[in-house]
Amino acid sequence: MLIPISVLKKYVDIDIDIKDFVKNFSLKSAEVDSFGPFVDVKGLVIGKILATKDHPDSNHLHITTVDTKDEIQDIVCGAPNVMVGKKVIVAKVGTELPGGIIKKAVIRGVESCGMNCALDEIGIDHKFQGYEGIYYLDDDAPVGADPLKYLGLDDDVLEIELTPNRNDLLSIIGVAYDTKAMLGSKMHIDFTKATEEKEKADIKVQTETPNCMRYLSKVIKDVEIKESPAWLKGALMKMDIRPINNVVDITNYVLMVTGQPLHAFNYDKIKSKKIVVRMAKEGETLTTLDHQERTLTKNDMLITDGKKGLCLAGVMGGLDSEVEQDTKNIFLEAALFNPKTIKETSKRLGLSSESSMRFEKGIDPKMTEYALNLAAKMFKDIAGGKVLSGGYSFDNIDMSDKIVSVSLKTINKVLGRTYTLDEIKDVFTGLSFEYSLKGTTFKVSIPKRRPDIETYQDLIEEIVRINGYDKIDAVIPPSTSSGHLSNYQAFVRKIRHILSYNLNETITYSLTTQEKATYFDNKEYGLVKIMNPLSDDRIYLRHSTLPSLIEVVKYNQNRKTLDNFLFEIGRRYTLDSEEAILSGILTGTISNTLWKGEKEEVDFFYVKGLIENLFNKLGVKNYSIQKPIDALRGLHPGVSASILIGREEIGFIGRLHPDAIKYFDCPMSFVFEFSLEKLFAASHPLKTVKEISKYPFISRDLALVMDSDKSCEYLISCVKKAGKRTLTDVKVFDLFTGQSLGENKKQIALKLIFQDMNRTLETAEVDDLVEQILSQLEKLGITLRS
Amino acid sequence: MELEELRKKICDDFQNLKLNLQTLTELRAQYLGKKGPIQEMLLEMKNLPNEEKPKLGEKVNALKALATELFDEKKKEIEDKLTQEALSKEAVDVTLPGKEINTGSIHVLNKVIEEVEDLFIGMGYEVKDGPEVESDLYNFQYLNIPKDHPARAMQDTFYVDVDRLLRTQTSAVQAHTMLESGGEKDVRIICPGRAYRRDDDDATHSHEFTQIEGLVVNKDVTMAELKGTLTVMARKLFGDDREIRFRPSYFPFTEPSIEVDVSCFKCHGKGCNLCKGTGWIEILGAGMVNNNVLKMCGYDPKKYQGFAFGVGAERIAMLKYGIEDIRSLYANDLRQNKQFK
Repeated sequence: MLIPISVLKKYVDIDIDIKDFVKNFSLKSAEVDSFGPFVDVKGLVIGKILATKDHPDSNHLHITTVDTKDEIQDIVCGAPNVMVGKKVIVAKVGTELPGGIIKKAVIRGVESCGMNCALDEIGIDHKFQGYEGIYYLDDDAPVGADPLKYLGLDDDVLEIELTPNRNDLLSIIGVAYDTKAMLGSKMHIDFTKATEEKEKADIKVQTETPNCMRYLSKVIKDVEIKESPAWLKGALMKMDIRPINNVVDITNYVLMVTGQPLHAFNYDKIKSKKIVVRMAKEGETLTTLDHQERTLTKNDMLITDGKKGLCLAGVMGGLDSEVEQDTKNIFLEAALFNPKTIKETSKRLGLSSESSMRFEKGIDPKMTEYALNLAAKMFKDIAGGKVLSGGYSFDNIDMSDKIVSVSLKTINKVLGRTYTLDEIKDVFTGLSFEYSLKGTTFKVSIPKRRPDIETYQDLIEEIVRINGYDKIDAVIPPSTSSGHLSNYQAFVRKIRHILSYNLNETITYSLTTQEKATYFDNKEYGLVKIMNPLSDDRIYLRHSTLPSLIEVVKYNQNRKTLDNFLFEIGRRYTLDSEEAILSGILTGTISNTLWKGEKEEVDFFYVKGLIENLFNKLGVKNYSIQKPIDALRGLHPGVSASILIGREEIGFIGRLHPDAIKYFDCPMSFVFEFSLEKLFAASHPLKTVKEISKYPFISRDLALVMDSDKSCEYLISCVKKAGKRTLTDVKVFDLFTGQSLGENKKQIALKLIFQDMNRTLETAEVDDLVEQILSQLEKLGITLRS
Repeated sequence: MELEELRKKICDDFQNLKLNLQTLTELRAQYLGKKGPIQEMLLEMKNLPNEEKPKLGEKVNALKALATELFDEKKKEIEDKLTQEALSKEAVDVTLPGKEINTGSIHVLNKVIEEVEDLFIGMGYEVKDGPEVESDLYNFQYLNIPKDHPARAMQDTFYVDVDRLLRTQTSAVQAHTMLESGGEKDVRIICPGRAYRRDDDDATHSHEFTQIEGLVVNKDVTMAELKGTLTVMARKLFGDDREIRFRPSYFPFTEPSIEVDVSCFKCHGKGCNLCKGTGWIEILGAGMVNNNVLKMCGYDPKKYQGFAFGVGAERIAMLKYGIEDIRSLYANDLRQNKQFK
């Protein structure tokens, strides 16, 4: 909403510095989007073109001789519309225009002392000029005077952003009410009618639908349709409305001032001398002002002459009854329509205007009559019209005010400040809310212009904003309970902090394509699809974060960051559940000291070690990383593993399958992903420490040869089983797969640690144990390297 | 050999000795060994008359002590030198680069969330989250936004079906929490999480974003306490000398509703490009919980009142660290991410 300050000042006194007022407004009323002069140019003058001749060295330039009262100078002008005798806006040498400072210049050999301006050259939208070339002022414009002042454009404009509850601020008068309240100043609304003729309007108005709640009208005769006076055109421009002619301009101006839409009909086209408001018949047609034939439904409201439609109520006028250049007599409508009906019609036809928008949001019924009278007066003053007396109307509006009560105690309890009764009274008086006070309870009549005020909370808002939010002290609330993260939340944080030591945490979008959403599980079940997506690549909620992480790797590699070690704590979405998952991707060199010739590339075992270390740090019990029963989708079948807790698979680690690398067009990478909630369920905080043996241990190294399809884990479990309790630890320290072992054999070297809790072990008994282990292993086809 | 002569020789020999542990040991054996001249003198003493014995004994023993001392001194000198030599051989250029291990990082949005969470945990809050695929009921209706409410247009929504949507705010969690509390318990929660709006992505809009909502419901919480709480937050996030101010606003779930500005931490209120010359920067929306919300969520507005606020983690991160494009928070350019340790 654009508010020209000069228009606002017609309705309310603003006695403080305008900048302070604007600041006040933003703190007490609504958000200020912008504030400043409508035209930010100083020193423009009105000039008169005394003579014009063609430029000797150009076929489109003219040399104009311009009188600006103080001096007569030549100005070279490129406009196609130069005319002798016309009044123009002159920017003299030294004037600062939006496009730069005007300098004395020699244009193709001819000296030019300034510029004859088009409106857009002084910073006004071109649409307000309506023709090419320089802008012409009316012939009565005084030469040498300030053209902005003459046009009423030497004004500041306040632009405010409205929240959906404050539709009352969609009019200058509405803004004036708030202004009065915050400044404690006076408002000026002249409710007197225009002087009316003795002749009575001979038109009957009736409605056949309850969707028209009120219909007031006036007939104005002998109107002279012409351009509006400069001040009116200026006022409209400042509100971003293009001036058309005096009739249209008056209705638009009154709309902006009062918030009440008006419609002017060509009176002589209403032959029946009758207005009937009714709902349209299904399939009925009306050609609207924009020359479109509209097919209507029974949900559209029509203003008719009893038979045919004249106007689509609240939305757009009909072409047939349009006010044209030669129209003499006008039938003026000020009505209240059901917001829902207007909203439906405007939405269905895609026709939205300042009027329809206000009808949709609801209008202050107290403004209807005022708006009609204001317009009638303006028709009389500006268009020379004669206002006929009478004018049929009807009214189905309940004008009684709503009453809302609030006590001083409640106000203080909610706001946490001790208000005085006088402070509250001042607010209500300022807002022109009538009230009665019983004890310390206010009974407040809420004017119709403020339908947003329904409860005592709404009244409290009025009090605190008008009295000032700055009056509220900052009080630190007493802490009554002790806050904490849940164990699960702390667990997730711990994971983030552990991994962030050498992995980079990412956050990526959850919405993606179907193919990416399901790439790593191939499950369409429960896939969450958006009904109204904005783009093709954001339609489904993902089942895995990995495709997004792959995209991040590509993004960074494209920017020459080759090593990427990423993790993300995200969610896996299905229609019935959302599961927290931890995902990661690693590609490139994880550590190096190149000058020493040391460099470590990420491989499967780096990632596995990372996960195992994490699990150990988190106290996860009973986990294992095993060859998957079924191949994992998207992963290399030979370099991937399932992560199990007990027998339940909670996730996977592995190298990307060559097909995945091709599909994503990404580098070879290692990935992991698993359920955080399941991991949390398997993590157990330490309760009691394990006893440490006081006796020395004995170690034995064994190089064992076995079939290469048998797993290391199998070997270790066999050894542990045979070694019993004294065998406290088994470590792998070498792997050998040379031909010398025979076909399909591998050799794994183990270090066995023997220790007893209660005594020093004898060498002989350890030797015995080793023998027992070896003989057990031999039965399983595992032999000691000879 | 004369005693005096021997003393001179010992002194000379130890003094002239090249620094070598082996020759030193040999020299020691030569003078102090069992067959050395000192031992010999001591042995010869038994042939002397008794009255001369103490006198000579004293002298010989003094010589022995001297030789031992000279030896020990020399030995230490040699050992020190050897240690020095070894140390200087082992010395490295400490300015060569250390082992490069990829430096990890925490995403800035989670840094912000953790900072805010910790602050509010300290003020007695609990952290809550809920589903991102939410019902219309929790996301809108329980928050006093019935169907056809104009505020729905303020937050264009991704719908999954007629009743389910991607939550447009984490306030949905508040309704869950209040209903679970059964209308009797005090509520003090902070709800960080992902939310969605049907917005085209640009430098300041993101279809996915991170909301941090706070809610307090009890019998006597006031707007003054809201101001106190948010002042503490603003100071924690943007510096100890920050002030905040309230401006009127509108949210269906609060009444009164306010926008909250923090005094500009760049120009300290003088006016700069960051605060667009106003000295204040808008950071969040807040208000006193609308009674309709309390009622719908099982609390009696005659007994209970509340305040709520919601802030975008992106907004805080961008302001605090001078990040200009919201999309960069989701692009994860490691050159940016790695700066947040």
